[in-house]
Amino acid sequence: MPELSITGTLVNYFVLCRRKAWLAVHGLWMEQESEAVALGRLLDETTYADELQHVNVEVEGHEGLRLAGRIDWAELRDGVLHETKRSPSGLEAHRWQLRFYLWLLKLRGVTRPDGRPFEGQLNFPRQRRTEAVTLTADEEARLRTLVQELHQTAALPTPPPRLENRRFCKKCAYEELCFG
Amino acid sequence: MKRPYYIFSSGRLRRRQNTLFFEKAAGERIPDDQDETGEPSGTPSGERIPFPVEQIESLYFFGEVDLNSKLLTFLARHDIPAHFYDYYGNYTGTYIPRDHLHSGRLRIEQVLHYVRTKRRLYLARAIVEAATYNLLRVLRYYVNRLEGTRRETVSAAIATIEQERAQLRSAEKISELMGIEGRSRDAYYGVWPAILSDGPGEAFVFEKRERRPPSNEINALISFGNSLCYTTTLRQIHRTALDPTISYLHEPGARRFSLALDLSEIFKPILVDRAIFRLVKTGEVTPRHFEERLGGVYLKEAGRRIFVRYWDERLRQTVHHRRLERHVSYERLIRLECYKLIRHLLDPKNEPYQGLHMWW
Ligand code: SF4
Repeated sequence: MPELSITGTLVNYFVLCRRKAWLAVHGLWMEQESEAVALGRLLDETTYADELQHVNVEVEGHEGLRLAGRIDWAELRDGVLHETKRSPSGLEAHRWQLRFYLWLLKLRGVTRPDGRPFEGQLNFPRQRRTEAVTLTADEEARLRTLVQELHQTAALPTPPPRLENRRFCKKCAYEELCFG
Repeated sequence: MKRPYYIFSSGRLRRRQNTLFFEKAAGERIPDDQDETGEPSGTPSGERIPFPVEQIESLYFFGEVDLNSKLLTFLARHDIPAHFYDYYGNYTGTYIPRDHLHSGRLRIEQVLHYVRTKRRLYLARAIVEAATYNLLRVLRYYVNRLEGTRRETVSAAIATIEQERAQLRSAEKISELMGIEGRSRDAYYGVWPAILSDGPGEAFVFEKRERRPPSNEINALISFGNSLCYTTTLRQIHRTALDPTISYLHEPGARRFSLALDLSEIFKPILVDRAIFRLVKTGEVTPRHFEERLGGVYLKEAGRRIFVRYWDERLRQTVHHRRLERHVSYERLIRLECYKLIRHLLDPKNEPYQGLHMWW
């Protein structure tokens, strides 16, 4: 297994479906997915152009795992990280992605000027909706195991099985790769 | 929705911002091999056809076209492949932008499945199995509609192909599989006269398949249709992380993107041959759409237009896909074939590849 960097997107995928994370780790990105990513980027650049500030964070995690975050945009002074999404479907996965970024900052010892931890905000410009995300101690512990599990999954020789829930798969960009 | 653009006229293709302009040329086109100057045959006519780049999935040049490297860079940026045909309608090649979807893991598996004899044999056999099954489907469709000796002839060909297919399991060399496929195709083409020879089809003579050069109208249609099938398959492969040069039935890399040759074997009966039957039987294509050149017979421009129009419509027609629980287009079926192959390459035990068997 070549050096794997665990990214926020992978954490997001992993929460949704282990198979999806495995496929992405091995370079199998779906066309729609890459278009959606491009669209997401376009969306955040046009919607919040005045505050745009991409932040890249890299952390050497436990047991030599490399953790990498590409944060959509951040208000550094106020200590808020933003993650822009097209829709709240897969909300739980979006939350974990953002918590992962908050965790990275914490591991790097980055705080607000007043010493308090950063907070997160999920933005759904299409729905004109936002949601605040924070990181509790329990969630931090969960992230640690999540990342380890993700690493183990990535090392599997073959992709993990498909999800049982076809309804869920119907919304996934990988559906044709899994079921076509 | 992106779609392929087919350009029959001659002229120059230019980019202006996010729009491509085709500047038409007027005047006779000089055959590529009879021209010593290298200059464009026609002169600009002043007519310009714009098309927005977001709508282009790929470009087909059937006319003589001038373009520059700026344009190629632009096409690459938008990931638009361009396919070229010569004066006679022969496919000459594809400009394919450097691929963007890489997966080292998949490529390694693709190579391993080639070098490990058993694995390669499995995939090659699956391809021939599906391709010959689809030949049978086409023949079975017609046999019920025929009578008398014509019906007997087609029935006999069906029996021959079935006998050939019975040997698939025991074949232990790629060359044996190639033999099965070749003999099946011979039997298949051998009964085309029985299928075609009434109504408008009577105007056509077809004895056997001859490629270079195509010796009669039907051969010209087969060659032209197969080249469209090849480029369509290549386009679909290109949208995945598969390496189009590593193949299993055909020898990789010898010529062309051989994985596209492999997969198009499965689709030729479904897409190309049925298109030919349709166009010939309805009299949409007639012998006057052809001309003799250099000892071969070729489709003239008007004929190419008819074929391409039908082809393009056909690719967008849909069939119901059971596992996906929705309708998918014929073109999409080719993409799904790529995905099935990817699943096999990543996990041959749990996801063994089965080539598409026409189910409709
Ligand atoms: S289609 Fe289903 S099984 Fe496949 S990656 Fe998506 S969620 Fe997972």
